[in-house]
Amino acid sequence: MLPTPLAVRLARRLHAAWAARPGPAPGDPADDWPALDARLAAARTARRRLHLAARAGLALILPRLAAELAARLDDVARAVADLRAERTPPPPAPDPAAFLAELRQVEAELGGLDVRWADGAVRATTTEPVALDGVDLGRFAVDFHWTRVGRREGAACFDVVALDPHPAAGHDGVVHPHVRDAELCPGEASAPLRRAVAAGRLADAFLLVRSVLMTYNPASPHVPLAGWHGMPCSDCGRRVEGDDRFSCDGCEADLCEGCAGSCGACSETRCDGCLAACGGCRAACCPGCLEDVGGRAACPDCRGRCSRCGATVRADELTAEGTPCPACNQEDDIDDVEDDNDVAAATGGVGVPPDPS
Amino acid sequence: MKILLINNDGGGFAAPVEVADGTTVAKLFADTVPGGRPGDYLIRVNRLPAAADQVLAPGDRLSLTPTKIEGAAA
Repeated sequence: MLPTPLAVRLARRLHAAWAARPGPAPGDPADDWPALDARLAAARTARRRLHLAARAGLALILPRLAAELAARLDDVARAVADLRAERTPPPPAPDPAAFLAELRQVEAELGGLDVRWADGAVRATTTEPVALDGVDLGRFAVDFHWTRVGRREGAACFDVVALDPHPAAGHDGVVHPHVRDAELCPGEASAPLRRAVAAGRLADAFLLVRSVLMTYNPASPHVPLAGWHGMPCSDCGRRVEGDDRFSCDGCEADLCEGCAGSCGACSETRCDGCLAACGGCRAACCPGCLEDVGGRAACPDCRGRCSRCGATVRADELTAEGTPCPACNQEDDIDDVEDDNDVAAATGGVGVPPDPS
Repeated sequence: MKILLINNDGGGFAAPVEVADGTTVAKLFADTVPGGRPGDYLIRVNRLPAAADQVLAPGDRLSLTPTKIEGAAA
């Protein structure tokens, strides 16, 4: 616990930082209008679905769709409230006594504070190591920089520092799925954190940061926890990371160096499942380089184009570059036979060609 | 009577609200976070942990902070 004189000095310093804040910036808040638009669109979609279900007589699903519409309208109301809040001036700076109470609450909730006067920061430390989905991420310190108040908002006033870092494989700056280079990406905590900092509710702000650190959002991590210690090779299962990690250009599967194949025609990296043998030369090629020719997969070297009809045929069926394909050759043969028959018919079997005129 | 309600869920609002005399922490929580589980929140009255059946008094400061909040990548 901070000694009282030190805590009082810090509370006065925090009060001074909040009191020196500039007023609200002119113009529209950048994020909140798109958020309102998105929520209005979602509400319209819910309304349309409810209307369609009612018209089609789908009585069983109507209550769920009505509840969905009500929830989406609540979202709209919250977005409007967000916008309204953005347009109002920040609350007055809490007095030093209020900041002292905030500091004492942070100490009680998080287990201690450390003042870093030179950095303009106050540090709280998570009391226990953070482990998410079985991945041990270690302990974190949360630094609040009062020098950023009024110049930066919400989460940007904080640094999150790993005390015994367990960074993601190949990503030294990512010490938590939602922390990169000490910067917290607060996600759903963004708005409440912004408001807590603006109002000088330091304890709420620290608790919100801690809540984000204790939660994993698999939909939007810097690095997924499933791949925290490297990704398993999709072919052999060996863990791979950094420069040893390859990716199939076809299905994006992770591969080790030993299992990363390449197309014999275009040289793209491919996994085993994204390569197939050419029916002619047996070279492993990607699907994009193989073409079905007469029921057989053929690579570019094992197929060619008929000089007469333009059809793709097996290269070994063309006697030389620029020669016709077997079908065209047979057509020539049939033409010859037909010509012979015509001649025979015209000459009564004598074999004299008819007068071309 | 009026109390200060700080809801750090969603938008994170802090505002004085009117509540009926005898309102308990559990009742106000249920009204503020419909369907929410109290175990998923830090519930503080005047900065201290509160019992569900604690009756609120005029001027109390009640804060609700989710213990799990999904972060993001950007």
